[in-house]
Amino acid sequence: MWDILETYWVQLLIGYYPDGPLGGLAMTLILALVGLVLAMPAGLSVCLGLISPWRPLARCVELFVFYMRSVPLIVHLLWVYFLLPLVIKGAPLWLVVLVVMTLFNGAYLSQTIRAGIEALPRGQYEAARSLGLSHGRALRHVILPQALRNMLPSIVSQFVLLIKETALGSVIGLHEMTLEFMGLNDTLGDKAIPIFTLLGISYFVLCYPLTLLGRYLERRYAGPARSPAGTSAQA
Amino acid sequence: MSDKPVSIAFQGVSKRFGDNPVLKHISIEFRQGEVVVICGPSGSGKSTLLRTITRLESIDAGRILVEGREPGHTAKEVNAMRQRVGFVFQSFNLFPHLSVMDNICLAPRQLLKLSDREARERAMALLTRVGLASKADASPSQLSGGQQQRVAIARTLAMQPPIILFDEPTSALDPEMVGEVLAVMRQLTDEGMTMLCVTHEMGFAREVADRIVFMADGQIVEDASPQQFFSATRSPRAKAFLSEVRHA
Repeated sequence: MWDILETYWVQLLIGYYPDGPLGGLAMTLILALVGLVLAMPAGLSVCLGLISPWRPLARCVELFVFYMRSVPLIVHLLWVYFLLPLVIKGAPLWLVVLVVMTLFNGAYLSQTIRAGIEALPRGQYEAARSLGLSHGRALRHVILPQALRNMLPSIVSQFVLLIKETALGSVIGLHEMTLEFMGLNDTLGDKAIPIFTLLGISYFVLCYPLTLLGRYLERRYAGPARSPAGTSAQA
Repeated sequence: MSDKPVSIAFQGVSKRFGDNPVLKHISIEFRQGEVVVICGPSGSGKSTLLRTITRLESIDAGRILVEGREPGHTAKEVNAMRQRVGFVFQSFNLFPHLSVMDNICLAPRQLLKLSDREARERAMALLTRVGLASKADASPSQLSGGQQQRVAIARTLAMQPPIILFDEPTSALDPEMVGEVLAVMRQLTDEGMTMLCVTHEMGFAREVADRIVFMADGQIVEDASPQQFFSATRSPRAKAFLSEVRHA
């Protein structure tokens, strides 16, 4: 196992870069990071649509979320894979994966955030509105800071899912980590077990710290919505 | 009192929750600077009456005029009206993620565009008035119920509303904390604000109210001066209510 790593680590890390396209772990990492960065605003926007006082918008967004959640991720991927090049000429594969990741995780995150909002006492929103704050300001200054903090552990576990989902990029031929390992398996022929063990370990190393972070946050922020940060364990 | 302009006017207001009518064709006026205590058995519609004024509840029929006009149905007009009509809740509803200071400063900063310093100065003055200047940097969860309610009152006052509504402000408090909140409210009665208080504190009502409104079954049964109300109650409902709260 170690000899494979010793010989091929550069390829597994960055693909054929700089001679060919960037790939391997680097591609997976970039996808995951950019995916995380985009998924959050996407989830927030979708959630704002869901809870919009303007009903037609809320219904449309609800339909979108329902659709995203009812179709397998790989089907979304194939669909965007064929659709995106019609919209953007020569759209690269990483863009396809990123678009799908953002929309798919945005849909799921919106549900998480909405649950966080609905878990808050109704009086929080009423108090904010009673001061004269608009719907948007009440959300921004009063509701979302609390809802997001309470939902942080769930959001982090969604991020773990997102990292693992980037592996599906291999299906459309994106040279991320999984496809890189598959290619190596083809090259070497008889080393499937050590190669895919290594692949598994690689994902584990990426995701486990996030899982731990999620658990830590859960312990730290667990408890009723009214308890402020850092003081929940006192009294 | 009757020469002052009308502050809030209900004109034939009805409201139902499902099949249950909670306000039945209410018509009543409250004048500027009046301190009115609204009381009645639970389920009589008194909290709903208060909540319909700032549109926390919608109404099914009638009109509610605030300062002579019916705020239109655009969000902007309703927000502007709410800035002028403060609301104090039974459950305080302080924002737990903000310090006491930031709870008070939020709306003035956002809506009155006060600078950070102006907002803090205003908040500090209000905290001093409610006797909590030392708690400016505390988190709401570190305060007792009575202290939280005093901060909530300060937060409402920070917008300098000419009208302020209290929805059972002492009902969620331990008995020993009721006094401190009532003391703050008592202070406010001298400031010319229109105050409507839904409360069971009859001692407070007798002492500071200009008028007492007694509600039962979604209707206004009595509307009298405290003197009249306590000594010459006419309706049997109000009599029964009074003897109950006295013995409580």
